Amino acid sequence: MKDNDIHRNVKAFISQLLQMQQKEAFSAEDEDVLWNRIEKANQKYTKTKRVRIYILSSGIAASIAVLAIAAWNFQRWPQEKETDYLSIINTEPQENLPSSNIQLLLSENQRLSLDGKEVEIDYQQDGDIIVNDEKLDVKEEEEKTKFNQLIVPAGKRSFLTLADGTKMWVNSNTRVIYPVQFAKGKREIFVEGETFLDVNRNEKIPFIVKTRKIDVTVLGTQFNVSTADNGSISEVVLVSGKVEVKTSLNKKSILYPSQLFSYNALTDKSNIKEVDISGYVAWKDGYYQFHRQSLDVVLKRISKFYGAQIEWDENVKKLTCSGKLDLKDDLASVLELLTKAAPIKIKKQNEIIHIYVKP
Amino acid sequence: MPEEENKDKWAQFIAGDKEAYGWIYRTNIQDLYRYGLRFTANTELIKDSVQEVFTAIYRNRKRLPVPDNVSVYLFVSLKNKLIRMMQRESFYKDDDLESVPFSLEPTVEEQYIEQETQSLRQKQLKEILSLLSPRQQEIIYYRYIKELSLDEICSIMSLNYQSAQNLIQRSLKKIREAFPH
Repeated sequence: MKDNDIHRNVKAFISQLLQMQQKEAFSAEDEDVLWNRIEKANQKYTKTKRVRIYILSSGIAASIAVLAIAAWNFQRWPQEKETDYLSIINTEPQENLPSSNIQLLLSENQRLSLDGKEVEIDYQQDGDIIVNDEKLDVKEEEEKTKFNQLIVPAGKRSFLTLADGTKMWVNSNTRVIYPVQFAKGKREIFVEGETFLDVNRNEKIPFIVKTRKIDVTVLGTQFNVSTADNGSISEVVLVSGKVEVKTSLNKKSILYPSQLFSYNALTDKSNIKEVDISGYVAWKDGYYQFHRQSLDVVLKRISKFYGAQIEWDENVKKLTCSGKLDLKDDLASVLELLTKAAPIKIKKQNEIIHIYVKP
Repeated sequence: MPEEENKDKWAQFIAGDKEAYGWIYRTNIQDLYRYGLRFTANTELIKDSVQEVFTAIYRNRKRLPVPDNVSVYLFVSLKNKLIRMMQRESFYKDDDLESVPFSLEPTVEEQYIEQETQSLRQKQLKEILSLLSPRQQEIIYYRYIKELSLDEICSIMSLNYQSAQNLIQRSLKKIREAFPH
């Protein structure tokens, strides 16, 4: 027992409880039966997960195909030139967007729509692509130096392993553009939205994360990058290692662990401050953690994550709260929990969720 | 249970070692089962929830963190799953956190040679327990039976430090006063 000064009555009470609870045994037989059930379920998962992928658009309208081909050819530029990520985004067939499914764009006519709240995608060194433990059947010739795109809509998340072993947790409302295999001497990707990266260390080839307004250069480290409002606000939070951040106007800053870099492209102001990193990176483990955070920020975050229409007034904005939300829960239970942390009431009216301060 | 070993095995498991996965199950199953009994006497529900906990960590193994404390991590997962399942089966309708059932009362009757001693002691125990709210029983369980740190308790019960301490003190006071002298 931890407290030495604990009263002897309490001690006696606890030891009695302990004694009796020790008798509640799970029999060896039950233990084996349950283990078999678990193993069976795991096998079944691996088999049936047979990705409910379907190719959406092998035969999309010709005009779109032409546009798209132009775009994909565009990317086979010689590597010395800068990759024009924005043109990749702009030339993609808008007809198919938005979708409520996670989208994986493999090439001009291979666009996969992936079921499920969380999808795991693994680019292997040999060029194979594994989606949720199933190997994808991609035509060989299209492989090299080609860019893929992952688009994660509201309410979904994805876990991506790049060909160099770098791990990326991709949050909702995020788009990532990356090569199937990295070109020689270059590791570069493009991010719009929010990702947490665990970069595989390689001193010789720096890893560059580009966003609309900033570039983050690293050797091997863990950090979170997020952009908002069409890229005008960018944030980088560093967990370990060291990164260099370069703004679009070529101002460079060095970032150290537990520091938050924020940049407003409209005013060209950047700022570095010490933060509690858990609040910024907990989402990757399926949590959203906040401490004395304004409810305004919390609700923005929730409505963005779940893609829900939530409205609240000035009075609600004044409140702060602390807590930890499980993002695997559905929106209703998350909001329910929030009413425990703050004095608020929730009303739902025609798909819009209204939040009031409790009278 | 040596928590360090638990953590080592966890690291091996997320690196792809299937034996380590089995080890984690075998080492933690008794504790998890007994913990489950605190929420419900429905042993099938506990088994289903344990199964879900272990299949979920298997599915997500590649991106799992190594938790500070593996058994606490498993407890939290089991609690979440169990409560979800109990809600689903509408054991209780209101999903108010306060109404999560938690009972320290043993589900197995103690076997005494003397019937009288047995009934007397069990009666006393039940009387004291009846004075404690589910939340009070739950915090006593974490603090004095599982011997968790206050930080860990705060995260399992979604409490802040001060309210956790208050809850413990209030519970202890009740037990002290209720215990026959």
